[in-house]
Amino acid sequence: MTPKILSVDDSKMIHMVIGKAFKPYDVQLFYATNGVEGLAVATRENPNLIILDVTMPVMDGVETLTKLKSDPLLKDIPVIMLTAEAGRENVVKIARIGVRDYMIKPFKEEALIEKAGRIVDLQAKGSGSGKAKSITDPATILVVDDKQAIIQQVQEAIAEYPWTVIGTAQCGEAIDISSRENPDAVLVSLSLPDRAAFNFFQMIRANPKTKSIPVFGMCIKTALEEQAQAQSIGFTGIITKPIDPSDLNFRLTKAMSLDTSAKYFKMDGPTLMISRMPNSISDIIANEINSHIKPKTQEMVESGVAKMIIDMTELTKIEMGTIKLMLTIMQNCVDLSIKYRVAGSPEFIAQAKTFAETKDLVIYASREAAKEGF
Amino acid sequence: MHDITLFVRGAVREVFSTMASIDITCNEEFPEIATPPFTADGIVGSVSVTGKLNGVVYLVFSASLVKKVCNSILGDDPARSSQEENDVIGEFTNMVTGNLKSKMADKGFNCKLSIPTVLRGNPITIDVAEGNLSLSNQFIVDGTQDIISTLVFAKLDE
Repeated sequence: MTPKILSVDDSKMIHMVIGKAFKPYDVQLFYATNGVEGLAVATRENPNLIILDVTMPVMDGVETLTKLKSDPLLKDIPVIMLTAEAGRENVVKIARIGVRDYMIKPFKEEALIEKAGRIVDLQAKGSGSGKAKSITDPATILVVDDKQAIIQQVQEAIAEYPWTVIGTAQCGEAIDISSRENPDAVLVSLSLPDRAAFNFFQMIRANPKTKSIPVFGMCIKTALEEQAQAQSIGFTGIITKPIDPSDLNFRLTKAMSLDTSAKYFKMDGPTLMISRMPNSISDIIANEINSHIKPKTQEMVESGVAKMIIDMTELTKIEMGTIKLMLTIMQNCVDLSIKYRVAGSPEFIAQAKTFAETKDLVIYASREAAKEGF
Repeated sequence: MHDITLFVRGAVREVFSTMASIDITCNEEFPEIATPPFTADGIVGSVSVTGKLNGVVYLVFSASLVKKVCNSILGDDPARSSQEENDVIGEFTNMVTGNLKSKMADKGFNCKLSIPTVLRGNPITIDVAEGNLSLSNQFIVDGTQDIISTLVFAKLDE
């Protein structure tokens, strides 16, 4: 999937310089002119990299970075800070908040590409990276942990995807595997003896073949020092133990820039789209589904598909977020003249009657029932 | 020569060369000490500085130089809007002043910068209310008659 890069800067000139710099590469660029807009675009688009100016009106870069790092959905997005102030005090201040890298203005386009290339996989236009692009493509996840149970947990957490887990307890072996297999993502325990995870990370980043692989550190929630160290040297993110499967899946798919829409939107025959909601919709999942609604419904119209079933049959509990999500899908269908029907479990139907927004909604008892005569 | 003059000279040359691929040469004959009011024709970018260094930094561009700089960075556009030009001038002034701020911080003069402001007029008169420093520089774009001037009206809290 094409990496998404968001430039947040009040200067159109900087946006144009950034646009020119990335022109030869297969990237999707987004622009915002201050921190408030930047946070909104980041939430909507989930970019793989943010290039953030420090001095801006409305909300400056430091405040924006602080807000990004305190948002569970956005905190893993790597940020390159752009600043006209090279002073040590300024650099230390932004480094402390968790910036991946920084650039001093004025800067050469090549320098920006070099720094961005260390974070996202920049492929020349038309070349194709050969890596997994969608959630339905095979991928390889390398797990480095001396506890076999953790490797097992990762395997179980990602079992629904066509991904292969390679487990090892030794960082030396992990280096060999990384060079040989070029995994799509790596999870490494930060508590391995002799700071092995940190040395492993440095070696991965030093090798041109493996430098772009997303590397997550794994540790317990209270190991704050290890987490801070890992973040400061540029780990893609931290996965805390015990592993939350939905959080792990979300962060892996995001780090690998995979298109996750197939999880929630699938064609049923040539003329019907099924929008399937999972049995539990966390904020992370709601955000992920939300990001797919508009492109998917537009894609339907462009390919002549005019019917959708919103399948809520797996859901047993409705919350306000679920209702909002369903209403967003319905509204998009109305806006684009797509006919829709909703299917839900008996629990869902009963609870839907208690919400003002859905009390009059016709809900079919199953997907098959919704398809009949549609 | 005052340190600020040296820092500004380095910063202006670096910004022009890096961002616009334009080489400029400092006019050594131009007086370092400015005598306000200063009258300029063209477009002026300014950034205010507050803290141990307190004042305003100005970059004065001739209209023809602004077009050259913009064409070099943004590509040729005979119908370019003045808003785009202002954006480039503001960003250049921000970069020069940011560079000066860093160098002054290393010498113990910490300060904060404002968002850049751009003024247009023919002529523009720049005067100073108070301050013990009035420093100027003039640069010539190599191989042309285009000129850029800088002014620093400031007070050092020593």
